[in-house]
Amino acid sequence: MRAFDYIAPDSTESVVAALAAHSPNARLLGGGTDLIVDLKHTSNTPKVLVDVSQVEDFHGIEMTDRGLRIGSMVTHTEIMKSEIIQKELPAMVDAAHTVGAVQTRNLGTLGGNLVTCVPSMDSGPTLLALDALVTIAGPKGSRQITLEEFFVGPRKTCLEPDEVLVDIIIPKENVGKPTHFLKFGLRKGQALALVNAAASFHVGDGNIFSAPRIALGAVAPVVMRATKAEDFLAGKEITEANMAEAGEIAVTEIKPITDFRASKEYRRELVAVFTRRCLAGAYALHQSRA
Amino acid sequence: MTDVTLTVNGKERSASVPPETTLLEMLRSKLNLTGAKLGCDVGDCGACTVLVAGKSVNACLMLAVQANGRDVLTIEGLATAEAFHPLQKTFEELASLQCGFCGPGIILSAKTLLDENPDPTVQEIKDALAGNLCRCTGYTKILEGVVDAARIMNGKQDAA
Amino acid sequence: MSDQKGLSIHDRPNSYIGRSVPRPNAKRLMQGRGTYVDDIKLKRMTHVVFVRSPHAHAEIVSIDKSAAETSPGVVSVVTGAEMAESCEPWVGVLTHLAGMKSAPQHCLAIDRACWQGEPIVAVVAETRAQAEDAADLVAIDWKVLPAVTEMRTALDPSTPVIHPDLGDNLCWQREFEEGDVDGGFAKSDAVVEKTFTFGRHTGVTLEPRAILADYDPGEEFLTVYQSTQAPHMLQNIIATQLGLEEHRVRVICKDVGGSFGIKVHTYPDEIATAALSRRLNRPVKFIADRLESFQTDIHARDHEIKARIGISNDGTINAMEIDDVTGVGPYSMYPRTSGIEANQIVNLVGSTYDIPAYRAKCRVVFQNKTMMCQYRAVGHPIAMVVAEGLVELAAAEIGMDALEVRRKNLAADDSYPRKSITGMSFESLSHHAALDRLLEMMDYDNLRAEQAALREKGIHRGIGFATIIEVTNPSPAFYGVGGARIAAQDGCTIRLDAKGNIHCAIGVTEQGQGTESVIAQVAATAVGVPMDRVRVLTGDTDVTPYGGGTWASRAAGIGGEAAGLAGRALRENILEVAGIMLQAEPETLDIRNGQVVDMADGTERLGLDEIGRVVYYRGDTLPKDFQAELVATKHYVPKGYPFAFTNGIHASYLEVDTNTGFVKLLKHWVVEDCGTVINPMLVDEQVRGGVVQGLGGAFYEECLYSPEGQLLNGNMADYLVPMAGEMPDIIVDHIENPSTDSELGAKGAGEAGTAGSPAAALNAVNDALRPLGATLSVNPMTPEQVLRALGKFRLSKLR
Repeated sequence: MRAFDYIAPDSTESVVAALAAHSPNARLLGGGTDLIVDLKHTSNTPKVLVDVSQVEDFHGIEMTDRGLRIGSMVTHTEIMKSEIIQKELPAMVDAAHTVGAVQTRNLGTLGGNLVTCVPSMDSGPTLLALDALVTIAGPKGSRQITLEEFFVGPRKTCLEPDEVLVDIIIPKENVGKPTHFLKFGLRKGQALALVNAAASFHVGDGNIFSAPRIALGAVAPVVMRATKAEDFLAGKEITEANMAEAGEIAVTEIKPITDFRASKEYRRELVAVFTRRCLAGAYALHQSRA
Repeated sequence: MTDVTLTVNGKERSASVPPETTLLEMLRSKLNLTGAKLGCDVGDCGACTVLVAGKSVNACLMLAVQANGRDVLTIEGLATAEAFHPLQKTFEELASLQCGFCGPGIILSAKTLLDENPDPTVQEIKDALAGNLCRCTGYTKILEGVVDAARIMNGKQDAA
Repeated sequence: MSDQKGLSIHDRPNSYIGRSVPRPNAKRLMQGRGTYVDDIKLKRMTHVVFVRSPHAHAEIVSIDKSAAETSPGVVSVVTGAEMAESCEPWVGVLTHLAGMKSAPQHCLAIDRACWQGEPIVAVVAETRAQAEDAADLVAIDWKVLPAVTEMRTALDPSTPVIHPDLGDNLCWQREFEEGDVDGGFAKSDAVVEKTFTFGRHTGVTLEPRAILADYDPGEEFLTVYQSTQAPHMLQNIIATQLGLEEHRVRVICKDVGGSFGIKVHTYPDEIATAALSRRLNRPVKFIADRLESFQTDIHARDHEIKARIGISNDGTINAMEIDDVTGVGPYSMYPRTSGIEANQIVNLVGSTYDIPAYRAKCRVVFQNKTMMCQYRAVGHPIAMVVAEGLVELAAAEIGMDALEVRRKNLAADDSYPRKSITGMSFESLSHHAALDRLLEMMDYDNLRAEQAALREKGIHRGIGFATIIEVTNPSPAFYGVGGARIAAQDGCTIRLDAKGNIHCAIGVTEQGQGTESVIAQVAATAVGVPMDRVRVLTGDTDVTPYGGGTWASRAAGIGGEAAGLAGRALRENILEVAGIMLQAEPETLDIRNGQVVDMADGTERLGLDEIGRVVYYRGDTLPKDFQAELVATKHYVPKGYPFAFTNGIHASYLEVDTNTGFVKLLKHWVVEDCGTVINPMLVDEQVRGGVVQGLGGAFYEECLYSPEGQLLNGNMADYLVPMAGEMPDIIVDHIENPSTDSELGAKGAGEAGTAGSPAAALNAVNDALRPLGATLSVNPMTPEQVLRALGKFRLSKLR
């Protein structure tokens, strides 16, 4: 790694001030599991690394009036161990569990995973399927946007160089919403997703799909919603046939690429299968709770 | 340069290092603790696994300064002067390791597992070791070694 | 071979042969006290980083190193032209592989780079970071040349020739024919033909390649700490290439973090490091980083083989035929060459069977990719996939159980010694006994019943088998006859110290497989002492007798035999002294548990410490006409058979998700016959490790290239090796059919796991998919390949 300066502010304000002073020559350091790797491979090193892991505002998992608030510096391990998440949103536990391996999960953070914004990120689909919001702090104060708006392109979020991700919020009505996440990687640990999928819905009266959400990763430039498949499901009876059809529709919405890891044709097959399996998994969760 | 002070294997150790120094570099080059190994340098292989504040991390992915003020346990600190850790004992008896390069990392990953989960299933052990590559063995004796060590630590079997 | 003056090593009291004792080096490794090359620091040590070719094939127009030379901490920046003054090029050919050709290879390319990753400029600095920073400042002006990457068309007239002086891109070819091949196919009721393709694999040793060279101009002496399998071979090569005498080079090989055949070759960056130390008169350390490992460690197994088998309805195999093409990179690797893998495939296909007719052809071609050479189980996994894949497909074709086909065609256990159709001499194999043992172990009938029941529920499980033979304990027939300076013999020097302990220096090396343990077990048994009184020293050319090192599963069989012979010689020497001291005939004495005892009843007479004391300090008390020798050196080279072939059989049980193509490995069984098993615990886990490495190649591993010759997945997150979570339970058992070629009777076991697991796995996948009409003939069998074979892709449904 090339030389850089290191600072570790302890408040949101001081992070914002540091960014104001140093951007665009500063990078934020969270858990470092992506950034340190990047820095080892580039000669384009930032002048200053701003370690945000010691900011108290960026930590904690708690229910608030608006919903479940998860600090951006919460590690994947902390998510897996959170009692409220285990109880209400086990899909988030599953998603966190698929990140790297124990060592990576102990360092890596939810916010870091989202900010890195690679299409194959493991945290994105579940949060997208739960209509998650993110809080961003910057020189003009803080703002809140949807996670969907947050993702702009491969390795690109809407964060300005002088802004920082503070927390992630699962809206109150979705805390406890039946959700299921599946990752298809070629190995259990330390594997990138060829496809990630998450689905959530409430079970409406008459056993119908209510507020269905389907989110897919590694099949488009950013983690995406399969809105046509969602529209198809909304109000329909929960049947295996409808789940399968939703999978077929989702296949028409994705924009997968062929690379050395998998062909786009193969990713399409996986999306059909995983959309169906995620829907079935969410329904199974609903039934197990009932 | 940044001054980094760690409690390594129970002893306070300080070094002045450039901020870009990884914890692994500090341990190996500055503190001469070469038990943690550089296998891939990007967190894929687990050969550099050490425990920071009791949690396993890839020391190649952590800046030394990020560990400032914290407890670090490396393989050199696991055995006491009197005795091996039960994992070391079972790994020796079962010949769980071959070339030994992955060993320090695997043993430390297994240690944190047993610290948190004294009676893990084989599946839980596999999950705990998912970040530690061994290229020599069939993993069979590694898994057995962890199971046996758990048994010893739970007092279900005489340590001898 | 019976022991005239005592018992055979198998009948020694307190024998360690066949006992699962812990490894002597385990305690050290377990505490993080292993010493791998990167753990060594020397005074005034410098670090070298290599500027490597970013192109698969490109001309070096110019090199500007001025900025690098003035970068902080830089000691020296050396180009290929400059390095050529310090180091001779080499050519990787063997004369017994007739017609093989290759071009001279320099340790740094001079005018042209021939693969992505080839070292071009060496940058030496006080620290590694400084060397890396300076390497970025070396400016090379490249003229990119067309890259030859496709092995299938490498010999086409329209394909550029990589080395014009050679005339074409052919490194070597071999054609073999025996028996009435055409007649055999003609009389067959079924002929099954299949093209098998194998991805490029590499070893992924967890410790990357590493060397620390320390030239002392005062003594004109080069000490090399190297992570290698063959210290004496490297001593000879380094001396030769650098223009030194062999006694001026010492290769020390401490702990080695995995090798698998990767660390037994002449790597240009390693030789360059030795040459740099001599140029600079300072220690120079080179540790490959992971990308360098993927780009420059040898690759292997990149083959496409068109194969067919002819079979009669009664299950008789009438003929087999293969046509193999393999691309090996731009040079043949020195000194083992890049032709051995293809040669082994020609030799090994169908070799477990008694087949009457066989035709084989292989072509080994040059291409602009990383060089290929011998990696664990050289050629075996490929030959077994082809032969065993064909056998199971042919069995299905004629509607016969594949195990019955095997029973019918496997050479009878009592028909040995015999030769394979390709002329390989088999001393004694136990295919039928192994098959019977395997079926018993796996509860075969119940497993088939379970498979059928699950099939009803739409769960697709498969059971596959593979019989194997393994080439072990090679004699000079492997390399020596072809002119390579690679020792097939090995030696052991064993001595008694003054306190009655045993010191044992041996030419075979330890890379984790348990050499130190096995040698200690044999030496302790042969001398008659407890194992904890034996110290084994390996991996130091100044200290150990000349030996080949550890490769081709030779350490236990050849090194072990040398240790046994040396141990017995020392025992006889000790008993001669004891006889004088005790006024007894040496023949009436023995050494047991570290004591000289009466042979007849085991009565303790004298401690070995007393022998040591008297011989070393009070020689005056011994007769004047007697000189004690408490040291003995013995060597061993296989003479009876060119190779000690072993045999075995694998079975794989797995489940295929036919929606995603994902294969879940459920269980794997191996029964193998490596003759005398010295340490069952170590042998079993080594077989398991081999199985895992084979399964890695069968399902996950492949070095992927762009058409331009760029390696796409040179990291551990994209070149996937198996980890604990993927691997099945692996159950290992043995038939013990000792070689009579040696007293110990040990054959090798290091590669049996890797040799057979891919074939068993492929057959299991095909067994699972058979009712669905799909067949795979490719490694790795990625989920995508499985789904393709199932014809699941909806290409037509989407635009």
